[in-house]
Amino acid sequence: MSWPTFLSPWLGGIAAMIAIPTLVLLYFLKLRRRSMDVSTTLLWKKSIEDLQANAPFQKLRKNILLLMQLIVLALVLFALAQPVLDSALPPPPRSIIMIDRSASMGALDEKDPNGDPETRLAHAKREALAFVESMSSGGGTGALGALFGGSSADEAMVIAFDGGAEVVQPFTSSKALLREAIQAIDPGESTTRIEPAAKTAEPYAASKTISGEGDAFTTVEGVPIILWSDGGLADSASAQLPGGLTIDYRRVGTDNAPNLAITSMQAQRVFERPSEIEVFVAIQSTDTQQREIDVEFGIDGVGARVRRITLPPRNSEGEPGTGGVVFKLERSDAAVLSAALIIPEGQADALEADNVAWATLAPARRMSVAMVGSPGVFVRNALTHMPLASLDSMTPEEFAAELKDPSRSHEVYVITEWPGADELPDGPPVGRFLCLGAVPPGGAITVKRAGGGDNVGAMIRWQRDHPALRYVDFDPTRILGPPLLEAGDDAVVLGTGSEGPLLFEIDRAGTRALVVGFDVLSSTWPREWTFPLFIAQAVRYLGDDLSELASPVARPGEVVRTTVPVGVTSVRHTTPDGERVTLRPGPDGSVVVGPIERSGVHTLSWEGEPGAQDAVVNGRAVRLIAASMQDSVESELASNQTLDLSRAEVITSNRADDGADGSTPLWPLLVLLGLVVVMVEWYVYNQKVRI
Amino acid sequence: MLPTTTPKRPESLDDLLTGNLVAKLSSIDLASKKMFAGKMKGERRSKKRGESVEFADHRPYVRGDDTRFIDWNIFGRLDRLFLKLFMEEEDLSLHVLIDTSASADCGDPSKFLFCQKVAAALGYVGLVNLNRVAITGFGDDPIPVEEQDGPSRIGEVTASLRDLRGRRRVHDMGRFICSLTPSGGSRFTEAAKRVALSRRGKGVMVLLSDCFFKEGYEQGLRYLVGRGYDLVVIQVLSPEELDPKVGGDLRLKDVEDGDVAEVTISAPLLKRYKANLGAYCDQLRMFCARREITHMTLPSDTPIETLMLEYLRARGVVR
Repeated sequence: MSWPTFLSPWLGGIAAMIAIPTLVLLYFLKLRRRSMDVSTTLLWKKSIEDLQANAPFQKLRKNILLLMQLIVLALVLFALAQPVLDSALPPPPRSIIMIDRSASMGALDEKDPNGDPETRLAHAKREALAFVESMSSGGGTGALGALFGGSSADEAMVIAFDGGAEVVQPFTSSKALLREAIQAIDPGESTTRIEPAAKTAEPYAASKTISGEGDAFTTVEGVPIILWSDGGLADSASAQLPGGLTIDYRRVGTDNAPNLAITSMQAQRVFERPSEIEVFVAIQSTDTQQREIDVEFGIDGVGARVRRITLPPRNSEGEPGTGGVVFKLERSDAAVLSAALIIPEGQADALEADNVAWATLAPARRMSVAMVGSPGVFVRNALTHMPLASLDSMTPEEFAAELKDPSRSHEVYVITEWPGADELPDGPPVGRFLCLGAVPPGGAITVKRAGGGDNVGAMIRWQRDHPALRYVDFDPTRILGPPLLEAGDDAVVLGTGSEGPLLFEIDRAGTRALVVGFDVLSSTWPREWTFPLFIAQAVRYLGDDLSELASPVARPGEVVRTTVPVGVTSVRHTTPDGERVTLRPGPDGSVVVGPIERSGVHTLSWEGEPGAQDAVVNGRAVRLIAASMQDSVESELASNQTLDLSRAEVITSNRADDGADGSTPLWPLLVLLGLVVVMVEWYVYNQKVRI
Repeated sequence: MLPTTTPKRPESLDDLLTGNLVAKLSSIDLASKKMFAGKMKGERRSKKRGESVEFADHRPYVRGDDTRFIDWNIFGRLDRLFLKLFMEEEDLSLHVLIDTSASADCGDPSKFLFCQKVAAALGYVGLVNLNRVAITGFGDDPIPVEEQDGPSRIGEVTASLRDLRGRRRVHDMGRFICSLTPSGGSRFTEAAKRVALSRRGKGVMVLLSDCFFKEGYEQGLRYLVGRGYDLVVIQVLSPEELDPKVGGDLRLKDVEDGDVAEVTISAPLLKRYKANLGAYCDQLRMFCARREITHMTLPSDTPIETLMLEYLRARGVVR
């Protein structure tokens, strides 16, 4: 039998100290009776004596109303102390303790027994430790144990999970080991995924049907999973859980925990001004009040700017209020960008891990460009003045040969002459091409009539806002003998001459090409100032998306794959905490980092040749990987009452909002009982005074 | 049960006896189960042989007898002298005791007024039939000081008017009855003792009271019945005493001695009260029956006419 525990024993105690003596004192006061003169009290006195003498419990009967009022008072006071009955069943002989250590479990919205705030994870661990304590140690004690032979000790294993899962303690009956394992679970910053955890537990937890002798089948019940989590599962809908799991879900966390979080941070170049970078920071608030906070933007760890933002409260449907700020900077070399929410002391913010986000800015990439054919001096001059990694010339045959090599050494090809159709049997190759007077094979552009002749054409209209045609003016340009071309399905006309389309963009299946349909040397364009501008803009346009402005942001719990130059044998991974791990790249230079545990800037460094976008620091090539939570779902800190998982039997033995964990509040029952006693008292009183 | 809020005190005999009632009372006379010796010539047959017109017996003449009563017809037939004896008629003594304690002045209609009316009616019957009538009020203070000049007062517990005889004393009787005022306690035993000791001849004694004596009625009745009275006890109770119509938490105060009883009126309590009242009356009735005392319990709203012509006649108090 378990005795009820009290959530507010002091309140009940103080109220009892005041109320009970007051009630008894009131009973010491004499009842105010109506005075009445009668002829004689002889018979009345005798009647009272008779009545009292006939009463079976004279003393009790005399004070029955006081007794009932004391009972009612005791019930109300008992209810005031909020007794709860621990209705949790005793632990099964074997159980799997599964504790969610995801980022949302770091929310500081639970309370410890002293009423001080504690994180959800600390709360879950405390409950799990209590569960371990309630496990049977087995053996039985004393004479009864000897008499009945005792029982075997309960066993449990401990699994901690977030995006992944880890068995922190295999099955054991040692409470000390289990306690140690539970206490050692550190909070993570990853999202919550139940599938890896369920699959980790599957060998023990899933019910199995084993074929026995003959046609007999034996069903082996799986070990129940006791799951402490806030229920914010990212994969609750998509999780492929093994069948036959029994999950006893113990909910932690509260609804509506106010939390401010950076849910996204992205950097991109300003379209009109490529040298300028805009950093977008998206912020959400789950507070029910409107919040005004400062966002600090930092470059390379140094605070650069602070912006104030007002976030609306969460709406009536429970969706968090969102807002965003934009920071602008001009930067061409690598940088670590950070954004942090400045939460003033005393303001509510349940989770700290999502208040900071990082992004790494890659250095501007220099391209290798190859000229195929004879582009002429104008094109060569225009390319020579561009900041390129390399500028090579090659013949169409060499170009055809390079196309067959998977590791090409050039990113953009400026083509004035295509190889023969027999060299390119499959049509236009995959790559980035600027075609000047050379229509690529493959049928994207059909040549109706080849160029030549004495007629002079001109460009009539063109897309002035195309990145390659920005500031380009074809008005003074005259074209001698323009060809007659027709755009196919994959070609977009960028400019149209007097007789037909002359400028095209082809974008299909890895092929991207800007095609100038006429022979530029047969026009006045090379002698105009817009020509080198076009060449530079076209090459940058074709090659820009190959170089990423910002390295992709990794999320805690994820594995990051990256490639270092072939030949590098050892890569050092330095975590934000300063921990160093040595990684061995594969033969192709691929390196697997992670799973990333902490958000922050992770550094990969090696000795040897740097990659195209790697910096070199102290003689070592350095590549930065930013890891940030940036998870709007996790940052919502939702605490679900139930788990909706397919293929698993979920027993929700989580507490009600007003009760203790796995316990039944008794106060409604007590109040009801008090009401019944009041009604009985009313009846008794009426019976007493009824004539 | 409750004291009469505005008691209407009778001022004269006319307030006690209506003309209609007087006419009916004229036809009845007092009766007694016992035959008492009277003091004066009256209208009641006596044990004695006397001078009435009703023949009683013959006896042989002895010397010295009044020769006027010799039956000469028998002498003619038998030639012996016999004397004719006639019934003697004497008067009857009627003594009416009225309870003048404060408790008598309770109820609606008032018990005391009822007792006064009954006393007046009985007294009237006694006087018109040439009986000796005595009226006694007993209580702490039966007659206020300012009204004590007329009737004699015996001790402090009783006030009596005695030896009334004849119709012309009716108004004296009426005045005395009207002068009685209920107040204080009853002290019944003491009063009965004084009445018994001061008796003048035997006769019918009628006690008008509620008989709620905390000291008990037994000793008092023993005093009265022990002196040879033909005692009639008329216990008068108010309708409220017979069936109380009160409720709630009450502090009941005895009007006689100020004794207090705190009660919460409830159905069981009322039931018990009625049972106790019935038992009390039964006990009194049994006590009276054992001592040949005529007893009757009457509510104070009983018509005097019914009482006199039916109840008392049925019990042989009047005829």
